[in-house]
Amino acid sequence: MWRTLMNNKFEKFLRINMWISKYLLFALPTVVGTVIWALFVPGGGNELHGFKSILWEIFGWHFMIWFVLLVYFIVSLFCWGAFREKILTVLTFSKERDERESYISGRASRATFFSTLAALILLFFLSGLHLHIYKKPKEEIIDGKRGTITIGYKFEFVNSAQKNNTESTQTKNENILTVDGIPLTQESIILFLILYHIASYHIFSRKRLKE
Amino acid sequence: MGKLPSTLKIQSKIHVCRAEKRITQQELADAVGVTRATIVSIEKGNYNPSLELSFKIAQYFGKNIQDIFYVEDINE
Repeated sequence: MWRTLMNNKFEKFLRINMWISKYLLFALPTVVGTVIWALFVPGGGNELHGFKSILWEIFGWHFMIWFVLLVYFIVSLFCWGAFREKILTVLTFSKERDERESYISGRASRATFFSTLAALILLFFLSGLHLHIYKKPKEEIIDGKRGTITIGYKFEFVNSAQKNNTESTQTKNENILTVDGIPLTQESIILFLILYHIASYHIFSRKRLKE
Repeated sequence: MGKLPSTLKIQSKIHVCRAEKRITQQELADAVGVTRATIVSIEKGNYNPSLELSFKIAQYFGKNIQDIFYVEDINE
């Protein structure tokens, strides 16, 4: 009896979460609209009067509610397995209608796991790589050799704000090429990995489905 | 005991059985609870069905599994 009660609660909770996810999706244009409007409103909406002021309040509250629900949605996605499966199945267009499609999604998951792992290893390598090609000033030339290549690898557990002093010492040098880690931001790397993960799964499963 | 072949390809006579029974791939798919694409893949030899699905297909046609599925030895 306890299990049935829990299952019913679980089902209700899952249904509520599904409604929240639909609300987040369909309310997104309104949120984007609010953000765009906010860019053009002077003084943070304090100078608005009448109907515009009421509208501004409504959209402002709506934006806050949407954002709080988004945080709840993302935390649920991370913590709750059943909800995660339901949402990500829709998001990745994954189909498992019979045993063959389950087999294909299994193979696709395996291929995606390995290719994403390979991409992570590549990004890890690139993030620490330091390559500097430069020409030494004429007064520092030894045996007529001017061109210099330095190659190195750095690994840090935490981001340090201290800047490397090597930059200042190398200002006299004629710089040709400097590669110091990945120029992308953390956000773009994470976004790239998410898109790569979905695309890899999707391309592989499509390929297998066409066979 | 002889050495077993390294690769086996399972072929089927589903298309023959279907023709005998005059049913479409979709009808067979619905009867055994899979998609039409799965039946197409099995008929082409691109997908090896599970033992459960093989038994279902055999039962549907009222035959033994060996009458529908046979092994094609690639090494031969």
